[in-house]
Amino acid sequence: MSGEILLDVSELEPPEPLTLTLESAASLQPGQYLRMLHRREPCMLYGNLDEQHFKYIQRKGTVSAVEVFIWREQDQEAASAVQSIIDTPIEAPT
Amino acid sequence: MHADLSLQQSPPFSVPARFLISAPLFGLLAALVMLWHGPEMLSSRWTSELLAVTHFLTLGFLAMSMLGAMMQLMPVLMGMMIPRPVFFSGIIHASLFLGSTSLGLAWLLQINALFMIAMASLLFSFSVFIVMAAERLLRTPSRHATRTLMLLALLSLSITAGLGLYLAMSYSDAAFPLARKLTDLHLSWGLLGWVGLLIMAVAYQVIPMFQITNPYPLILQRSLGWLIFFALITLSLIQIWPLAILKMFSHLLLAICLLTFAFTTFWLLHTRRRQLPDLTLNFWRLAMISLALTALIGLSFSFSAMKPPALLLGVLVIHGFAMTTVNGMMYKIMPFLIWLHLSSHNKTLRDSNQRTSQVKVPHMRKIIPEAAGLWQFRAHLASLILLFLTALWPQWFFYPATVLFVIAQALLLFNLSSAVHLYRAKLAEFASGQF
Repeated sequence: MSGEILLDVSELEPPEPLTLTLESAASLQPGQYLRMLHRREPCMLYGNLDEQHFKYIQRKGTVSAVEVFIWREQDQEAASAVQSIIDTPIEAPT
Repeated sequence: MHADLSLQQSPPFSVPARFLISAPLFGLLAALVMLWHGPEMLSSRWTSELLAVTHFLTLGFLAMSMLGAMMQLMPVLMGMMIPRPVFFSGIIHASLFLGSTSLGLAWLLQINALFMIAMASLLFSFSVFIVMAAERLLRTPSRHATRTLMLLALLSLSITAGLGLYLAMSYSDAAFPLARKLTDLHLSWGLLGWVGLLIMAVAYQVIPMFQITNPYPLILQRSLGWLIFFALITLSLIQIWPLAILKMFSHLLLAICLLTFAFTTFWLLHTRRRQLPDLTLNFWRLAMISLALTALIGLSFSFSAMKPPALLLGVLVIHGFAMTTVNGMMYKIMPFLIWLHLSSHNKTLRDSNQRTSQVKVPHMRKIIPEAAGLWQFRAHLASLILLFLTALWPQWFFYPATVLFVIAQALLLFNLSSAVHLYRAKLAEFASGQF
């Protein structure tokens, strides 16, 4: 999927998951969203995303405990892409 | 590219830093008192010098760093806002500092008035902290086991402080009966309740977070703390009903809980996902070995008619378990705080258009160099082994153990102070625009 940027921070020590996610989010192009994989609910991420005008959705992951989708507030194309993923039932990994 | 970070709920740097930097001062003070008084101070567990050293360590080092860590961790881990953090941390820290110093000096100098100052200061400090922290914890929507354990730890601190005040009354007022039989209860609630439960509460969050391990089994997270608290209650009931079976049950339950926690932590660390060397890992492993030894030695003596070796258990639980854990955590907390606050300062400057270029915030692992921490760990480990031997053969090992204890605490103070100095130097760079 061309609009998806995958970022797996599930084996990184704080503060790397936070900084890498914010850096990756800041470099998102129109139509792109970030799919962040983590082993736990992230600390301090959501407040920072709010301040920097990003939207996000967290859900239980399949390959990691937590998945977070992040996109720019005004980016309708990315928002729709994320919504279609969220609406699709999660398939168990094979 | 650098990440823009805001502090969110994190309090100002001075809030936890003042506590963390004060802790090794008391560790050093305790070590110097030992060096000054020599092995005779270990002739009995009731010597004034030993009581002074014990309280410099439990109040000045442990309570000091644990209160500071809680002021930082409660907002970050549970999203709680601490009201007027600089004001509250200022009064709590000042009164704890005064109370810990006065209590130690009261024993060393045998001045009754100092006991009164110590009691008033410590009562004030703990009351303000307990009320503030408990009110916040009760209101937070988080239902993580950490919240419950922190509340139980605060309750244990209240009981420890209450018993401590009662015991201290007998030192300050000759008319007040000396209730030494309550001392073991004061120790149990303090070291296993307040210190032990708080370390568990923090471990449940920070070990999976920083050591990249699996989470603790949910059943342990939910039950272990309550079982320890329950065992401490049954232990307290022995004062009213001195039944041998009740004592045996309490000791057995405590030992099982402590061993379960130690072995689970050890297993999680052993099976961590990222097998990279890490300084804090050494401290956690040493702390868990000490905790397991404490439980095994304590339990074996409770099944025999022999008196438990109070000094040996004291060394293992205070120095080996509690101080080791706190010392290791300081190497995560202090660099993280400095990195966080410098990153946030960066963002504030950019948001206010005071500059457009990036300031280089040092990597967390560079704030306290790994080698400096490792040398301090070696000194700490050596001092623990020698203090353990001192408890058995004081005349042989007292001075080498104490000298190494002085070195370990001085190195810790140096490492933490250097980190704070680096933070201040960076802030000065920001202010002068030299970046």
